[in-house]
Amino acid sequence: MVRYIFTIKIAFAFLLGILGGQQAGAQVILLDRVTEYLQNDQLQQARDAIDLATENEATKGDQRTWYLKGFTYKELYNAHPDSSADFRDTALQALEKCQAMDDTTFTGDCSQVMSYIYTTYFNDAVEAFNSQRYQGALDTFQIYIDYIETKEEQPNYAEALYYAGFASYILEKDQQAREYYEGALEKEFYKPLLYDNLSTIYQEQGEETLALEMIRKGRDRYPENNNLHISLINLLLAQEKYFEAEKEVESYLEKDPQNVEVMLVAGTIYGQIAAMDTTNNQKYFQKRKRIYEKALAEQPDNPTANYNLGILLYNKSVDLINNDAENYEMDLGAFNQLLNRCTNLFKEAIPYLTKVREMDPANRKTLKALENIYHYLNRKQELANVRQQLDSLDK
Amino acid sequence: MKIKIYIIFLTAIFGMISAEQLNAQGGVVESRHKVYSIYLYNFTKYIQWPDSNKSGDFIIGILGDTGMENEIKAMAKKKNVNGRKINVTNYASVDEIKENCNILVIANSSSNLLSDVLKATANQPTLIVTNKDGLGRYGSLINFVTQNDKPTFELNLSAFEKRDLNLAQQLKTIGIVL
Repeated sequence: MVRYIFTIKIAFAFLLGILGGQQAGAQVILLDRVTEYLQNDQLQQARDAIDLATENEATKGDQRTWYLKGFTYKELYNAHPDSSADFRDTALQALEKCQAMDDTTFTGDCSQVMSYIYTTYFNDAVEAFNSQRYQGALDTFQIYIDYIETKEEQPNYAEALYYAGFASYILEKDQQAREYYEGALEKEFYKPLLYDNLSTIYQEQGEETLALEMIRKGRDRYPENNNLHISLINLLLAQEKYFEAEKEVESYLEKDPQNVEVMLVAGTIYGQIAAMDTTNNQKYFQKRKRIYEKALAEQPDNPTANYNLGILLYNKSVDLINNDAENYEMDLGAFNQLLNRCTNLFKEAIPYLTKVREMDPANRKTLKALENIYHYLNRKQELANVRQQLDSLDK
Repeated sequence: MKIKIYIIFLTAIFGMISAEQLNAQGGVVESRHKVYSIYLYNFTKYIQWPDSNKSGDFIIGILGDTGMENEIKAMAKKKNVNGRKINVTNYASVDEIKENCNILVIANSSSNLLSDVLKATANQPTLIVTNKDGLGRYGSLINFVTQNDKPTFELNLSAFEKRDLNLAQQLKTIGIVL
């Protein structure tokens, strides 16, 4: 009822003004009333008044009208940020209209309000991002980006690009993420994750050289960042650059010598090199053995370390029999010495494989290896036990 | 307006730890059998057969299921004995054993046939090879055994003498002389 009365009063004031031939005066009255309502925090009344003003022939051509509309709806947004009514959108439309007019009296004021509103979009995007609503974050960052990229002053532009990139990356929109990230880099915005993620995108898009370049740039800028170092090692492995991966993983272990996971990666790398470079087989066998032993010194029950060391020793013995001794021309004495080595390797492998067997009784490969070992060593009871366990897996 | 930005920490994950690959050659229990096949070939180098038995294919006979047939055949494909092709022959019974059989490998499951084999081949320069505890003393010329967890072999020297087979000193050094 109160609202209805106000509306009538405003309309009446207009009518009087027009009938009295005092059109200019009516405009001022109405718009002054809007200002007054705003100052008194009477937002709904201000809204009603300004909505009327934007419809009225006398006031709709006035720049101040549109500025006030923009401002009013901005205030409405502030008061009701979660409202389904899109106050910001209405405000921005009004402010754009204000700026498009010939009169430039309020152009600067419009810019300020628009800047304020777009900053709220930026903040909303950040909040969405932190709440893991990545699509919402991406859409809202884009709203901010579309606005700020046309401005001379661009606060938070690079950040918006970075986080839009990040959101795109998480949403697996790689090409989009790439464009945002590259944009952020052009703006000299640097973050370890930017280098990391962009490198990954390049790698997935088949641009291996760029991928490596990007991660190395990140490493140069953040030499102490362990995640980047790990990513570099992973990338070198993916690109089969094993000798470089070897250098990097050993450099990592110098700064973090108790990191079991890295030790296991080192073992993987040494294994790849050994497979490629058979002339250095013995060297890399020893390196792998030492690194798995170190890992087990840190974590005696680590299943991967136990398995890898057990199988390494087992494989070495089998290789000796299959490869070196494949040469049937080997001197009998030398062959006898070789068998001594094989026996020792098989026996050395047993405790590690036994541990894996305890932790994972269904691991068929472990059981097969133990079966061969016990058969070689002629340990009949142990052999029978392993075979029984293998049979039970087949049932 | 104050802008809040939270820092998000992500931990890099190693995607590339791999398990050592098991060196599996089809079946599994082959290492010991591989060793036997290498020993068998060495026997051809360190044992001398009489002149009467030095022509034609070099025959390795197998009596029963030894489990090492594949390894012996693989060896026979790659090697020869002084230019003689190695022929691997399966014998289903003692009666099938040929006079010109140079080496006869008797399976554990057929070890009860050892005395019959010894009788049937008494006048032949056939190297009888077994793979069961005690058979060396029972009469086989070479018996595969395990000593200190290592596959090795026993040598019955008197059995060698009875069959006109000469063995080199190296075999006596490496094997266990009964």
